[in-house]
Amino acid sequence: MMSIEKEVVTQAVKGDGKAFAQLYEEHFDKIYRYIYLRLGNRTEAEDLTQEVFVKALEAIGSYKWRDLPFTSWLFRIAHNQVIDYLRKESKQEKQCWDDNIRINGSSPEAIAERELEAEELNENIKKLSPAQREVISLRFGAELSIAEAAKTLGKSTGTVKALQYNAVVALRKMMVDEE
Amino acid sequence: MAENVQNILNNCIERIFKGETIEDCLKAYPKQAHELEPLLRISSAVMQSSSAIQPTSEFKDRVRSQLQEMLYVKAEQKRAKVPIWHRRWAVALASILIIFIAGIGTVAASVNALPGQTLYPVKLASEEIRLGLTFSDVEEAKLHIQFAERRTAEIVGIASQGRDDKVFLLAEQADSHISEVEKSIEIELETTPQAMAPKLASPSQPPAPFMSERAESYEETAKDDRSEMVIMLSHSRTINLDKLQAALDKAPKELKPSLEQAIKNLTRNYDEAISIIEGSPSL
Repeated sequence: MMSIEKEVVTQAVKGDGKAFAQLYEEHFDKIYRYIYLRLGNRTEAEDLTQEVFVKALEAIGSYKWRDLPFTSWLFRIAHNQVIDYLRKESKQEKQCWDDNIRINGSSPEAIAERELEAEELNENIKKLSPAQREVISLRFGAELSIAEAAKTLGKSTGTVKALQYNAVVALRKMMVDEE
Repeated sequence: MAENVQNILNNCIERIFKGETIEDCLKAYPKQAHELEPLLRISSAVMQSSSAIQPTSEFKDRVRSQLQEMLYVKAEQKRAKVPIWHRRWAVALASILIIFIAGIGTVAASVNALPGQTLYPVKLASEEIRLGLTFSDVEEAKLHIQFAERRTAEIVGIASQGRDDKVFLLAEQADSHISEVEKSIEIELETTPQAMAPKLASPSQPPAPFMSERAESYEETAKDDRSEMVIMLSHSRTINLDKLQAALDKAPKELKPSLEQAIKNLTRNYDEAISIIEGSPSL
């Protein structure tokens, strides 16, 4: 039996605008979070997120499920956009991070506390190796499964698990050192 | 051992994603709990921090409307599968009939029409006729520059009415006219006798003197056409971007993102077209 997402994707491939809109709503925030975590800059994250969906709409007609699950296909577009951007701008070592992440809900005190934590974590995430940051962005930002992240990056699940483990250990070490 | 911890950490992360607590995971792996706990705390903090990253609703709406416009254009293109030159001629002929019925005055009155107004389709039809009845590539390129300026004026017009529903579509059309300028000039260069000569003449035979003179004369003409086109494009670029910038300065906050995008895209397209035409290989 065809999964709901597969059915929606099939309709979108055939040119159904409503189906594409559904995929947009489903994946937009995750793509944005992934790109934001990779670049750390809201303006650039917005530009690239927009590009990802424009490219996805242009290419959806030629998408084939058997080659790559849709989520991995979409994130591969995002991954390539980020790589292109970093290559063009040569910003790998001189990224400019925004300090104002939007935190929703809760009391003003709790919001302020979470914003501070988020800033510290983001500062540390940018110190990870590019491959570790990639995996953290896909797993924690986009909430992709290990299998989806592996397919997006064209790596084995074992490699992605190892990168994830090393990234978490490195983040932990940074936090301990700061204390 | 390390690989085992990698798997366990991953299993626990999956469990936390599904709503279980760190304590639930530690209970499931008592032997590794000591090593696992700090890693799960940091993982959980990253999850929470990441989930706090949200795009603004204005940005999300902007991209949604851009995609809706694109979907509309795609649907229109799908409907019209006739080759473009067939379509252009069909539109031109149909429009000639309409213009005869409606009268030349209607066409003249349509020049300032904006999208959504009754005379706007007449304006577009008259543009198709002019393109359909132009057989020189250079003249066609000039028309495309003129029509790109019209689309820009329309963006300014609808922005002054506080609308942004067609900004993306009009900006795309302006971009497309600028791209057509490049193509027209490329075609013009490819079809001059000297450009054709290597394809036609035997390499061992030197060109006849009269061919050489003619080629030199075409080369001069092509150079002049290129220079003229670069001047026209540069002039058009300045005028259009100034107009859009003025509209952006006056526009209410909610219109600014779409106008900024239009300016960004149009600037890139003008610059690309100018640099391609400037850099066209000398004949």
